[in-house]
Amino acid sequence: MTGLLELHDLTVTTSTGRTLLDRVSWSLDAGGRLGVVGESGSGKSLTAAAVLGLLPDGMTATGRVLLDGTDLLTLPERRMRSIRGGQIAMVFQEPLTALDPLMTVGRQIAGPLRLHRGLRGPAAVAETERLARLVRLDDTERILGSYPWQLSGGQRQRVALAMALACEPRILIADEPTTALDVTVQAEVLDLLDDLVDRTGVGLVFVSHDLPVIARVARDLAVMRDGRVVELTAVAEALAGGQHPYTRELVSAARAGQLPRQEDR
Amino acid sequence: MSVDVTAPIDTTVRVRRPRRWSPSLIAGIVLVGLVAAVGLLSLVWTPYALDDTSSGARLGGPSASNWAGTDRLGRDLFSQIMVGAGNALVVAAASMLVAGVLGVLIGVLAGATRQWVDITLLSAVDLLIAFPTLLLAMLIVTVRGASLSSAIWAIGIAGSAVIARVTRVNVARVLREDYITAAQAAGTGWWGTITRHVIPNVAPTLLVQLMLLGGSAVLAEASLSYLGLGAPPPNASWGRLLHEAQSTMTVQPWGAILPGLAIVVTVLGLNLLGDGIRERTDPSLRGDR
Repeated sequence: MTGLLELHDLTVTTSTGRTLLDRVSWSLDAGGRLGVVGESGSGKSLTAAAVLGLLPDGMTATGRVLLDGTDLLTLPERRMRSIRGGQIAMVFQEPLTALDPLMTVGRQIAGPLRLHRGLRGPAAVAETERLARLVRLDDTERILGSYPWQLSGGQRQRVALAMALACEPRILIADEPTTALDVTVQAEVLDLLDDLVDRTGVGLVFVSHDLPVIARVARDLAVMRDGRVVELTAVAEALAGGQHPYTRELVSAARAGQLPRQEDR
Repeated sequence: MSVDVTAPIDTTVRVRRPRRWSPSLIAGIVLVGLVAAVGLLSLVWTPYALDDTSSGARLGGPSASNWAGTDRLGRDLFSQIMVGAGNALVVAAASMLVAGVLGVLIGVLAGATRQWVDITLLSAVDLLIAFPTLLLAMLIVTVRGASLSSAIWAIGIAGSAVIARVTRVNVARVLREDYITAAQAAGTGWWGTITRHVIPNVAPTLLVQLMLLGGSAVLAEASLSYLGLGAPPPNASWGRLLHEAQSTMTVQPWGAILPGLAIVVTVLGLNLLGDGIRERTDPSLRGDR
């Protein structure tokens, strides 16, 4: 099986020799939906940073990160830049801090358009408005002229999604995109994400500590613990009772915390 | 009193934050504006030429013909103070420019590139801060001769150390923000990150620091010209007026009082302006969020 994005034994070490990611391997097919679950500190976000080549100073990644067979870890920074945002886009946990406070959200959405598609002026404005509608931001004109702090959490995360999808990437990495949101807004954003993945065919890597949230959008599941992938399975199988004791632990914890939702399904 | 709980809640988000003009901002603008107006006027008109000694008595007090009195050579003091205002502001503005450009350049390089660059530049900056400004000024004057531009370079280079430090800390802080990672994840390169996100986000802090630097630049210019390291005569400077008035203070105190007052007004004005800008730009002081 050859996937669109394949991780082979991705290992991240610090300059002091500590191993933060230990031989992480998984694969994402074109249009696939992979959930990465694990508690905080298990290396979920670090995996995302390593894929994009945005590791903090002093950390080194070894192994292979193959995008269509090209190893991203060996790619020069210049080529990596066109891949970030162009091929692989990312949405972050806290949309308020992930948006520049001094720039209107319209200009921020237009940023990747200019970088990767060379769109400027009226063409960029028109495309920005199309993206705003795509992520179901209503009252687009006012919102695009607003600063991040003037918007609600849900609106901000939609803006972040619009930015990420601006250049029609093939892979979208969403790092806990709904964790900072209210439960009702969370549901809306998840539905939107689900719908966007269907409509655009973008491959989704959804990182979260919250198994029920992952279950709503992902098909495959990588369970991470202490920098290792302990189980690779399908979400449905995991919910039915995974192989690894830690997966079962996560499932039963989710059941205990999410009883009402399990009932109304 | 009853509250209508059925009234629809206004959910529209305020689009513009209120722009308040704080008293210190207004006072700063007025004071600096006054000094600037006098300085500008001196370019086209002064009551007497600076080297005109024919006008009145030597060491005369304020009179109808000489509003601030005359010095020991019989030159009009008011004209000299007017020209001094222009020079003080020119030195302040130009040294702010030098300090700003140099300081931001060093600060960004130190804060946003490799660690060894940071360590090297930071050591150089620390050395510059420890180096007495006066000694630096004397070195520059020795090389270039005493002039307005020598004073500007001395004050500007000394000030750039402070700006570089403030810039470096703030650049490093902004670079740790999520929106920088987000911008990089969207494919923005180093230069784009710096110009589009980092510089605009550190600019308000730097602007305030520059304004405060302007105040100390006026003081520094007065000190340098007091010591004879500023613009040579016949050009006028408040510092040299103080120096010349020192020996005749008991006879004609206005020669010291008025330039001193002019310095106080200018420095106060620039500091108030800095505070006023800070109040408008610092969200933690704005109180409307």
